[in-house]
Amino acid sequence: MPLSSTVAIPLAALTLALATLHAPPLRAQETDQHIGDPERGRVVYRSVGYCGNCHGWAGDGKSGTNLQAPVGPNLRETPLDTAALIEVIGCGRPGSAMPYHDRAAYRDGRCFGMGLDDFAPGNAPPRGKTFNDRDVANIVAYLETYVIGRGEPTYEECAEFYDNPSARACAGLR
Amino acid sequence: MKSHYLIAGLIATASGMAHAEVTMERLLAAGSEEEAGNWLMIGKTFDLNRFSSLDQINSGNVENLRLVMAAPIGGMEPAGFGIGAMQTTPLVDDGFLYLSDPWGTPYKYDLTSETAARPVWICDTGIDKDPSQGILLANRGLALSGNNVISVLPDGRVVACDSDTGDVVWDAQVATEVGEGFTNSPQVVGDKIIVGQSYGDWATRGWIAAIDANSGEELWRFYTIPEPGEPGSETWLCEQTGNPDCWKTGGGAAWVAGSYDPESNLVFWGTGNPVPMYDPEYRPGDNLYTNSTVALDADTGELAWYFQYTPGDYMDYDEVGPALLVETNIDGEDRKVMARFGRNGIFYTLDRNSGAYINSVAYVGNLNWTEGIDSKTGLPIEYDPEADLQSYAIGRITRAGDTATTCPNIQGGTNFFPTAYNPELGLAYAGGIEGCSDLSVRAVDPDDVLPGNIFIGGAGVNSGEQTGSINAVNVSTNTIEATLNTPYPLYGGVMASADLLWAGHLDGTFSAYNASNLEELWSMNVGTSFSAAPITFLVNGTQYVAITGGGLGVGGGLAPELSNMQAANMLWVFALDS
Repeated sequence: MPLSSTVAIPLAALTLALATLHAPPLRAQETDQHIGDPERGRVVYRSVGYCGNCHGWAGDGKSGTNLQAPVGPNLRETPLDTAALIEVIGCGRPGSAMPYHDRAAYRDGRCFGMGLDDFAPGNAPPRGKTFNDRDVANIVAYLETYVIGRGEPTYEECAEFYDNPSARACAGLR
Repeated sequence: MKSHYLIAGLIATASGMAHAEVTMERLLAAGSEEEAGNWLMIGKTFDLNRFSSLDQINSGNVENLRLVMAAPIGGMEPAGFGIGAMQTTPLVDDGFLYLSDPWGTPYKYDLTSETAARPVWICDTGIDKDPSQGILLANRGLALSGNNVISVLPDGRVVACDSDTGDVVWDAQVATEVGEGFTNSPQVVGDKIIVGQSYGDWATRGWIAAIDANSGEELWRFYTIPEPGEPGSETWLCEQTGNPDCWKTGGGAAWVAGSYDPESNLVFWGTGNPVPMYDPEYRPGDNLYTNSTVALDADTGELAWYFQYTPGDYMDYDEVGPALLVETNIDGEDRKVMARFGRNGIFYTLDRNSGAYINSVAYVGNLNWTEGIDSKTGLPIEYDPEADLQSYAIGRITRAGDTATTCPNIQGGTNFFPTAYNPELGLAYAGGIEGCSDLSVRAVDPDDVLPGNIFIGGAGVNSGEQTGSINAVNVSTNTIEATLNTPYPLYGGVMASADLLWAGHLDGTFSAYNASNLEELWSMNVGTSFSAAPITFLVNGTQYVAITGGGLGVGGGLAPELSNMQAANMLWVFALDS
């Protein structure tokens, strides 16, 4: 599978990726085998990856973001397709604060054929929490089932996210 | 068997024996010879000087200090922003030590064996440790009032626990609006307990309130953000923005307990930044009473005076840090002053009865946001009273894309960090951060602003490496007497004893310094990050020093190389090697 046209990879990374066609196949192909579980994906998003620190519990880059974390893009309006989501979660976004979550992301060339040493100083994506392939599929299933295209977040969604109707994080939405 | 029960009963009675009640008379005498062995209030005395006259441990023997007791503390359950900060200043009365964990839960330890810090009780406040709430979890200490131990909680309650048994005596929901709560410590003044709403950056409105020490009933409340029509409301130009309610989420949190002057019956509290901190276009105007010291009548809550340090702020320069009450001689005149290390990098001295500006001196190595302070008004010289949006020396940051780099770092200078004053040397002390922050604006639609959610309106990120310093300022001469530069930012408090100054560091090092020149005389790395302030006291006539350690918390963001340090909430107690 080629790089998705909807993923904006910095030019330097893209150039290098295209120049290294002999690189091992992108991990997206491996993960396509798994059928994601959106319920497990919610747990991974919430309390394994702590994705809400940057993207907010609602994935909107606003609701519940952490003061100490950078503000992440609004995933409710993301144009990324399944393959692109898998790639960004696994490889991170070079040149941005989006971390990589694939344990081997920059060790065997599976991400753009690059190693961490190939990036200009400060441009390598940071290391995030480590997800196995199944959880990458789960989190993508969660995003596609409960987040992308969902409009403004609601109290009901919040209570479901935290599995707690009286969660303090949801109080402002009542 | 019967005799065993009898003995057990006697021991229980003895360990639970009431100490002398903590009356207002005792608190007023907290700096006296009779109370020298105790630490009854977080600031030691009402003036928040954090000075102890004890001198068994001194510059001549501190090299023989060793760790003698330690105890783990709970409250490690995270909130939405992670594990809470261990910022509590312990209290000691007659060999028993009281402290709070980051969720505000009070603990009592018995140190009288001098061999172990034995837990006596943990007061169960019934706090819901809801991990969903996206808050900075912290608690900066307890207060002793009569036979009660008072704590403020992140869920907005104030709780009184029986100091002998740890049972809840009363429990008052003082903060009732969504997003409100407490991270500071309560301030006891006679039969009143004064508390401050702490979560301003979560789109709430700050206030300071007094409650009845015996019941928790609210007696008065002072809003740090006036409502339309009240004095000061003219400094909130919300109508210009199309959102006339911008003041309702204007912040000005009172998240550090104040000092108290019994002579004037005034309490001196600091207030936090206007909200959102980086987007003044959301809330044009000077934004009173944010970034201010407010002097309030302890009986009525009436505002006696205020002093706003950085009007129309966009650099996150809260001014909640302690107001030291000092008696000194300035230009040949004996003065009763209020001396403060500002988060904005400037040390200020004000007349504490009128709030009139006396003088100031920059204490950080790099300060660029202002060219200086007006010698008459005490305001930054760039301040324009006619301007809706201030433009300090670094230029404005705007929704149109203008950015700026401000020094000191948005976290200070100093911050909430407890400061100290040694009256024998005439020196005021603070630890803090040396560095700068890059500022930018990110406009937020008022419809997206929800109380309880963090609301900052932009970003303030570290600009290059951040280091630290401890400064000693001569209050009388308004000069920096000594500076110690440190590899990591200081993110906690200091304490002064006879000829020593004490401080805990982010990397887990606890140190004692020569109080005059800040030369290091002793240190030990115990591995827990420090963001609290130490205390010193006597047990059975022997001097001890105690401090609590925990996780890196927000301070960790200033020292990325320490990021693998793990959190463990601990009480550490030190004494001379006998």
